[in-house]
Amino acid sequence: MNDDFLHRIRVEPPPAFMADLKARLDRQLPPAAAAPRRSLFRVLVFGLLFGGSVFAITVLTVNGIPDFARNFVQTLHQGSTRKGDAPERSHAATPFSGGNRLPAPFASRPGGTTESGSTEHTGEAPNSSRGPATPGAANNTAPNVQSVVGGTSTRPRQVLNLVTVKNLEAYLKSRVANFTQPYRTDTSVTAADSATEALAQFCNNPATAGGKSGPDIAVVPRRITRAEFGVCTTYIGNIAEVQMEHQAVVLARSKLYGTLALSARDLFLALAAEIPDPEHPGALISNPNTTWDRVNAALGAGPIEVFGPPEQSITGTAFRETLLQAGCDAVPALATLSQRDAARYQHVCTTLRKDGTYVEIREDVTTDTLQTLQSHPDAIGVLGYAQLRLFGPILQNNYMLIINPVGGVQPTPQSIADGTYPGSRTLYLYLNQRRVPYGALNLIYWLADTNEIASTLSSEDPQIKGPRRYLGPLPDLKL
Amino acid sequence: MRELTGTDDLDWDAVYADQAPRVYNYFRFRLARDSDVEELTARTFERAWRSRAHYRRDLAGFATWLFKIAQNVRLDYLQSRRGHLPIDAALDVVAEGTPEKEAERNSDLARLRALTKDLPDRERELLALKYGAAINNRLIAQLTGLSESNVGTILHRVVQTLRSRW
Repeated sequence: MNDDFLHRIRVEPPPAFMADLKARLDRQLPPAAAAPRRSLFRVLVFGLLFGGSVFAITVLTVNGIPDFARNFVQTLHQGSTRKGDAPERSHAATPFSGGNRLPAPFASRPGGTTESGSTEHTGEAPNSSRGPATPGAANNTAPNVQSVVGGTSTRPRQVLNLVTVKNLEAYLKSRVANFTQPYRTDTSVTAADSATEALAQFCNNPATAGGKSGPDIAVVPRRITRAEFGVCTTYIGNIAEVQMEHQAVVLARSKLYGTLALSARDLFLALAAEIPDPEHPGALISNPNTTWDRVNAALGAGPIEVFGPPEQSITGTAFRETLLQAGCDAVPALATLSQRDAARYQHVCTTLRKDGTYVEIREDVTTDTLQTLQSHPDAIGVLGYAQLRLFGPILQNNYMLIINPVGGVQPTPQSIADGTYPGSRTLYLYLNQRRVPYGALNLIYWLADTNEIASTLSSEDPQIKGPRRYLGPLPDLKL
Repeated sequence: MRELTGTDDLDWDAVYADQAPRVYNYFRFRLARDSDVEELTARTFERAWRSRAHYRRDLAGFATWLFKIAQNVRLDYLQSRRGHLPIDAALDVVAEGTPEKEAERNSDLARLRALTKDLPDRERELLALKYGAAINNRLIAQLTGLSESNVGTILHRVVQTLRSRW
């Protein structure tokens, strides 16, 4: 095979780039070959510490505590009492004023210089002892040496506590994963069972929680209610709201058979594991529907076959929580269940059937879904909105697919942003304005304004990205 | 290509020298802008270096593992871009060699992009792995989930087509 013309296209990477990247990698981790030396070093250190401890205990046992040591401990104790019990974050807990003025960290994108040189040093310190002897590592050790000599305590790594709902936990963890690294800031993401519980944790009363403050940030898939806002302002003061992003799940189908006039209710009755028994609406039965006309006589007798992301994936979860939930809410027979047993209602509304009607396809390979829809022209495919935007004309021209409206509404930036498309939702982020830890604003910037981490559900459309950042006291936002 | 089978006995400098140009050219074949090529190459290596302790030699060769990371990095990048990359734009590859040779290479790359823009993603991925990353059909098969013979057949067909239109 004569393929020289293709081999010729290869080039060597620019030497400057190669050298720069190599230097960055060398700084990142020590070479693997250094491991045995570290082990030997550890053994030596451990031996010295152990021997020293044995010696000290023996001396103390025989002679008692020497006077100079007792005086030194007393001096330290008095010193710390004079300083008070300033919180570890106090250096960074500068509340920004309300209104629409953006605080300083918003002025530059993440990656620029920050005000926390010492925090970053502290973050580097543990690594510096393991890393190679680079100039950067040498600098990082300096503050620690000085702090020991000077007798001041070293500052711990910054930890931002973020609470969200269970179904967004994986998504948020993936979003903050890349934030943590560059800023030497740890972000702890915990999940509550519901948005109500997440906001309750965020707005908790420190007095009843043993003086423990709530999480720094809450991310929930709905807006705070007026009652919750009242609780928040009572216990923690003003909070800021950021409309983090709009997300949407879309349906695609082959052009061959055209769109189906589906509603969210049709989707629920076609795909939920359990639905109300048509003959005894108060009872639930395993979903027996195999053709669309069983769900809605107007839909024709085509088989129900849906290809979509795994149920527990980010897009799969969003699908269940938007379209399936909306369909469930539209079934009157389930209304009484929602009042009788909220947990059961939630389970029924968001559980997909497992009998092969809904076929799971890997979420990270969109082409698999598209090719499957090509070969199953009567099936419906579930995609994240970002996938639709990504494939755009290719989806229509190469794969011969069209987007299926839901409830007569097409997923457009406008219909997603204003919520008229049933498969859309908005993520809201809340921040305690009285206690703004260092890194929180950069984290918000990261979550709300960057696309560094892929979201399969959102998009860069101006209507979706543009008007969503509101930083200011909530009363201004007209709840 | 060197057989890379583990992490404990690897010469990381040699690994970097061997693999970096491959990853770089893989992205060059798959993307358009040189700045993105460098960015994604760096991201791939940083991610690999960060998690190299987790690399399990019993599951995959090192090159397979590295290129899997590269593929994931590209997908992340595409999804974060939320749109089509400008296929025929920004062929600003940094000059290496004479300007004439560089211009010729860029011209070839532009021509390749024009000829392959309507190809299915799978075929373009195979071309990038074969001629950008310069890896063999066996590794490509592992990376794409195709059989080795299938990789060879598809590549042969695509190359013949490209050649006739070159």
